[in-house]
Amino acid sequence: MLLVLLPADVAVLFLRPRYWIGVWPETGAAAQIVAGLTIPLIAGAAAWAAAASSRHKFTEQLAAAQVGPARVEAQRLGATTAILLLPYLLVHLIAVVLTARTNPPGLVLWAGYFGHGLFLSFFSIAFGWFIGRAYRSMFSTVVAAVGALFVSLLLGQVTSLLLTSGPVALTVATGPLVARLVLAGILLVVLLYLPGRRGLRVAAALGYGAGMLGLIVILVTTPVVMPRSPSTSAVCTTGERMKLCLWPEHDKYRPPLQAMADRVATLPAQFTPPAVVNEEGLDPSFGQRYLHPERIPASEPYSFTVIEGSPWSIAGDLANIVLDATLDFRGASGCQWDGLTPANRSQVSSLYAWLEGYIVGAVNPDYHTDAPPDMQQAWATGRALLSDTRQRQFAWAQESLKQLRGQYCRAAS
Amino acid sequence: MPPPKKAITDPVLRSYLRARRVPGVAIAVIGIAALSVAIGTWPSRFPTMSSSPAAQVPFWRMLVIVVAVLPIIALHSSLADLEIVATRAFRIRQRQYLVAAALISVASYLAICASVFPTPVIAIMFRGWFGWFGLALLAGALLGWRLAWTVPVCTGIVFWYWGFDSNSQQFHWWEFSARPVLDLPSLLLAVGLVLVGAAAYAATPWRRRRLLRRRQFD
Repeated sequence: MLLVLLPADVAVLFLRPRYWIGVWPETGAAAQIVAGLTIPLIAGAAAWAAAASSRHKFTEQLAAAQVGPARVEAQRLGATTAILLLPYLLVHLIAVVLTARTNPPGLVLWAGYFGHGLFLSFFSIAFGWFIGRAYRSMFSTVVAAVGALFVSLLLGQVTSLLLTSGPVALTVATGPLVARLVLAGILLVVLLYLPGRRGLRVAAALGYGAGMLGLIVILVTTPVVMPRSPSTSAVCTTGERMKLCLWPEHDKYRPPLQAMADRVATLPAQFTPPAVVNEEGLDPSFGQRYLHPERIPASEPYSFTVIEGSPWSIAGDLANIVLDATLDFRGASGCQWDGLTPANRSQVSSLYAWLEGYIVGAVNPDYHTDAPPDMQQAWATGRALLSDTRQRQFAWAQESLKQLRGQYCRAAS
Repeated sequence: MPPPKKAITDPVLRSYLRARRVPGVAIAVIGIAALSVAIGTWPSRFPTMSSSPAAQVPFWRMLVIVVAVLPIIALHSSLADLEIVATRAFRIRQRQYLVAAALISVASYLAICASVFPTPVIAIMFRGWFGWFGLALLAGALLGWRLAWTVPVCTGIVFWYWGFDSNSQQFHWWEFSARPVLDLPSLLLAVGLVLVGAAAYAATPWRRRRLLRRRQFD
């Protein structure tokens, strides 16, 4: 079992994009993925281990033993838990060592995701062990494995349970996490009394049922991932025309971001970027918008996100923000964009793609798109200019801005 | 007492089946089919490496594995300790049961699913079933029939997490449970896995011993 789990868990950590190295919440999230992936294996193994004494026809001997059945069970369940948790702990150890090298802030964010994965493992063990004990059948391990998988996936339809990433603006909430861990711990303790005397056994089964029900209620009613309160210690780039601010945990993205702010500063004067742009979540209204997305205010503050560490994801957001502020898409100072013609729409798309490439300082994006063909055509037009001289690029951009403004911003001009 | 009409007349097969959980498997297969009809198309939200929505695993792809695995687990019986020393007569009935149980369960599963799923998806389910069945036979032969689910489920987890290639926006060539219907590598892989499973099933300890001994004399 260990021989399979150990290399598989390490593979999950590394055979994927490695942007998580150097950011604590992403490190925790990347290392806890294995806890979600191995739910069926852990539950099946627990069921197999739980039924070991009856499988080897050893129940009579254990019943006649001088030590109480709960104590025997505690040793067996404890050993099983230790063995099944070992690969999970090891993956976290490797991940922590890799991120600790650069010593960024936010270790507590890692701990939240670590705890969440721990809960998933405890839950799988408690689920599988109960089935292995209560359902004596050749099908008990497969029922435990598939059952645990489907229960967690069905619960995952209504609440976030199997996490795959740790965005810096979010955190694992302490209260709900502790409640989950405590209930999973209670389930494991109750399991110790299943092989006891009949009265105790019935009580333990009832207790297990009640604990499971309580756990499901907590899972469904308290979301475990919540927005963080905005940080007062944001780190910012310098910028003559546009300053960019990041969560301190994302400090490793400051050098590429500084380069982007510097390139924005070289844009022609017709571009009017906002003076400060925050990373998503730094704005105090983020929490309300995250919890109640249906109540998004008409003009939410500008913000950018770092998706999987990609500079293009930042540049795409920044290009949108610069264009939005320059061309007044929100209609704050007299522009009217409702009657945008298809030709002008393409012009805006070309400008966007050019600006995105200009800000990131490269030509070929690192993402795939399923945008409509005419929009992709317009993007290609904009990107084709990036290999031209800077003078010609600026002349084209200024001309495009002038045309668009002339047509849609009469009041302003 | 004369046997009732239409009953299985072979007494050995009858006693073979009596020790097996045939009704249990039948009920389970129908239950899984009903579950597939109800929620089979939902995205399961199982973790995937690719963040693309196309990488999401619908529930039916998981449920096919269970259908493939159950008849093989049911090769086990409460008389397993005795059956280890069983003879040719037993092996013949085991083979008959395995083929019949596997085909009947997959046929009834697909028939029920056909009421909801379009034909191409049914065809992909059938191809996937072949691959999972082969892997389950392999696992059962290596680890014992009760653990026949292990290799298919482990393979499934690998497929679900890594199966989708973000660069080409397609499933990898080895993802035989999700590639398009008319995909040759998937078909070959699924059929190949069944052959591997059949070989593992046929490689009984006495055959392996005989094979090794013959090689020693060569």
